[in-house]
Amino acid sequence: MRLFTKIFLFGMLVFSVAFSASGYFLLHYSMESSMAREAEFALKQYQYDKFTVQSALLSYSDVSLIISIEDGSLSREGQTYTVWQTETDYSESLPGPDTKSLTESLFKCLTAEFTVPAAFFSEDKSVIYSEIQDLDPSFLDNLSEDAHIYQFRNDREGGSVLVGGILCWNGLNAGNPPASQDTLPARGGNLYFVTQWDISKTISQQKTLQQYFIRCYFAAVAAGMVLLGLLSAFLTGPLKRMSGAARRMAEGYYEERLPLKGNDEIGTLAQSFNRMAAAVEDKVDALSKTAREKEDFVANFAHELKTPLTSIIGYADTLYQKELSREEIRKASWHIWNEGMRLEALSLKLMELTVLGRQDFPLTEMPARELLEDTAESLYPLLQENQSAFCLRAQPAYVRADYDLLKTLLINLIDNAVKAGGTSITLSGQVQDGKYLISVEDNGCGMETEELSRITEAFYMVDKARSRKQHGAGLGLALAESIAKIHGSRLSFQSQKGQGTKVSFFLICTGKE
Amino acid sequence: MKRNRHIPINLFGILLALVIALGGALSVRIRLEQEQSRLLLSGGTVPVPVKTESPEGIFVDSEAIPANLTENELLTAVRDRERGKDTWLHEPEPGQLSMVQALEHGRAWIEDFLLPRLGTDDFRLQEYKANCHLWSLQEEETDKPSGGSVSDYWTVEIISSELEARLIVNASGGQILDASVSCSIPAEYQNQDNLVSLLTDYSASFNLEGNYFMISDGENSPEDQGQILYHSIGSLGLFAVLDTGSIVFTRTESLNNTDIMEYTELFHVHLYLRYGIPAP
Repeated sequence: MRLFTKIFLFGMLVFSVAFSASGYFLLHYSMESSMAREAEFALKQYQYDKFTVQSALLSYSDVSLIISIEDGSLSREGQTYTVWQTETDYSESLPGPDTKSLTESLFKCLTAEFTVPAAFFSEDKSVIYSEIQDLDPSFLDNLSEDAHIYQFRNDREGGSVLVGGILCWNGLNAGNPPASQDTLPARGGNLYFVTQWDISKTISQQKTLQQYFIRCYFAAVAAGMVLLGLLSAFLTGPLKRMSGAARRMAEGYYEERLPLKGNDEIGTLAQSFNRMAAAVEDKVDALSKTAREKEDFVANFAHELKTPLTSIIGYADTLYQKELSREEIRKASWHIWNEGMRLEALSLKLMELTVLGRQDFPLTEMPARELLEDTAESLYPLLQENQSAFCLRAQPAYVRADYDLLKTLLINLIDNAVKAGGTSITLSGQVQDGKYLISVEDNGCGMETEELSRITEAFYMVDKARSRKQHGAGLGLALAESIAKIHGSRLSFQSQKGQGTKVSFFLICTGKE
Repeated sequence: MKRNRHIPINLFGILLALVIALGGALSVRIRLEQEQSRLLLSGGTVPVPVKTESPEGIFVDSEAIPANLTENELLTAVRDRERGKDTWLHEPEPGQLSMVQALEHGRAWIEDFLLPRLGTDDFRLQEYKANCHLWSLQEEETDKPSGGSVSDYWTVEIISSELEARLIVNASGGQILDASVSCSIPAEYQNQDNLVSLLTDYSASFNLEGNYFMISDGENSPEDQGQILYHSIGSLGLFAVLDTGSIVFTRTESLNNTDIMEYTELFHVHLYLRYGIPAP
C-alpha cells in the first residue's frame, strides 16, 4: 500500500472516529438534557395541575360546586345548574344513576382547565376517568405518598412523560357509595392522579438534530477526503521526488540534486540527501581520478619505455652483430646500463608525477652540454633507424635539473620530431638572458596554429591515423609539459604546416662552465 | 506491472476509508437510537413532603395564625418575591400552611378583616371557586430552592359572583403579603377613614415595632377616586401599600318604554407589602 493511501486511510480513520465520537457525545448530552428538562417541565406542570384539582375538590366538598350537566338527565338539556353543597353529600340529593355521569362531569370540568391530558385512578388502579390513551397504571405500583413518579413513554405520537401522584379524595360519593360507583374511593381516601406531558416536539427536534449531524458529517467527510488527499499528496510529493533522484543516482547520474527547501523534516531529509549525493559524487570523482591516474601512469610508462628500450635494443644489437673495439664495447654497454638505470628511476618518478601529482622533485646542478650529449647518444639507435640527420649545438653551462626527467622530456621532443617526419633535427642549448634555452627543431610536417594550444593535452593527437600507426598515445607532450613545469618553465611551440616545428623551454642557468 | 500492482491495494484502502466514514455515521445513529429507546423507557421518582391534615380541612381564623416572622424574615420574603423571575411549585413542607389552611386563612381574612374595614360586616363567601398553589421563587432554572423557607408563598384565588380575590400568603407565617381584591358589594368604599383604618390595621397585623407614618400619593383629595397610601412598617424600609380604585358600569334596561339606568360599581383594593417607596 502506498504511503499516500496509508496517510489517507489513517487520516480518515482519525477524522471519522473524532467527528463521530464528538457528535455522539454532543447529541447524547443534548438528548439527555432535553429529556431531563422535559421531565422537569412535566413535574412542574403536574404539580400545578395537582394543586388545581386539590383546590377544586376542596372548594367543592366544603362549600359549593358548579357543574354543567350536558346529558340532560336532570332537567332541560344544556342548562347549567348551580347545586349547593354545604354539610350534606351531593350524592344524596341526586338520583343514583346520574351519579356516575356527574362524576365524569366533575372530572371533565376539572381537566378542562388543564393543558395536558389527565387520568384518575382509584386505589385499586381501576380507571375513574382517563383522557390518556393506552395508559397502563402499572407504573404507579411502587408509588408512595411521599413521591411523584414519572415515566417516559415511547408512543406513536412520538413520546410523552407520564407523571403520577397520590391525592386525597374529598369527593362525590362520601357515605355509602352506590353500586355503580364502587371504583371510587371513600371520602378522605386516596386516588391516583396522572398527567401526560407531550415530548414529541423534543423527540422530533432530536431526530432533526441527528439528521442535521449526519448531513454535516458527510459534508465534513467529503471535505476531509479532499483535504486529506491534498495533504497526502503534499507530504508524499517530496518523497516521490527523492525516490526519483535516488533512482537516477543509482543509474549513475551523481549530479542529481533535490530542489527542496524548508526546515521541516522533509527539508532536512532533502538537505541530507543532497549532502550524501555530493559526497558520493566527490568520492566517485576521486575514484575516477585515481583510476585515470593509474591508467595515465601505465600509458606514460609504456610510452617512456619505448625510447630507452629502442636505445637499449639498438646498442645490444650493435654489440651482438658488429666486431667492436674494447672502447666501443664499453661505450655501448654503458649506454645500455645508463638507459636501464634511467628506466628504473623513471618508473618511480613517473609514478610520483602521474599518480601522486608530485611537483617538488629535487633539481640538481649539472652541465647542460653533457646532458644534451647523453640524450643525443641515447637516441642514436632511434635516429639511425629513421635515418634522420641530427645536429647538436650546445653552449656549455650549468643548469638545475632532474637528470632522468629532463632526459625524458628531451627524448619525447626528439621522438615527436622523428614521428613528425623530420629528416633534420636540431637540438640546441644556449644561454639567453641568464637562462638556458633548449630548443628542438625539425623540418617535419608541422601543425596548424589552432592545434598548438591543444597538443599538450593528454591523449590529444594531431594526426590520429599517423600516431596510431607509430604506436603513439598522445601522452608524450602532456608528460613533457609536466616535466617542464617541474623545472619552472613551459613548452613554447613554433610550427608551420608543412615546414616543421620548433619546441623551446628554459632551464635555470646557474653559471657557465 | 509493479506500478499497476499498487492500484487494487490503493483502491481497497480508499474504499476502506469510505467504509470507516460510513460506519462512523451509522454507529452514531444506531447508538443514539439505542440511547433514545433507553431514555424513553426510563423514569424516576421525585420526593415530595408529606403533610398530614384532616380531610375535612382545618378552619383557621386569621387571628389565630401567629405572625411569627421576624422583621428580617418578612423583609427577606418581600424582597425575594419582588426579585424572583420564575416560580417553583412544590408541596408544603412541615411547618408551612397546608392548602386547606391557606384557603381558609385567605377566606377568613377577606370575610373578617378586609370587608368589615370596607364597611361590609356580615358578608360570607358561600359560592366560590378556589385555586391555590404553593410556590417559591426560582432565579435560575436549575436553582431549586430548598423547601420550608420564609420565601415560600401560597397564591389563593377565590372567585365568586361578587368578589374576585388573589392573595399571596406567606406559607410559613400566614401573613398576607399581597391582596388584590375586586368586589361589587355595596359599601362605602370611598370613606377615607375606612381606608386609613384598613391600612393601619394591616400594618399593625405584622406586630412589628417601629415608627409608623402614612404617605398619601397623588394630588387627589382623599375623597377623590383612586389613591395610593403608604404605611411604614418597622425600621428596615418595609411599607404597606394601599392602592384603591373603582370603575362604575352602567347598564340601560328598557321596561314599559321606560329606560332604567342600572349602576354597578366595581371597587378594587390592592393591599400589599413592598420594600421602599418609589421616588416622587
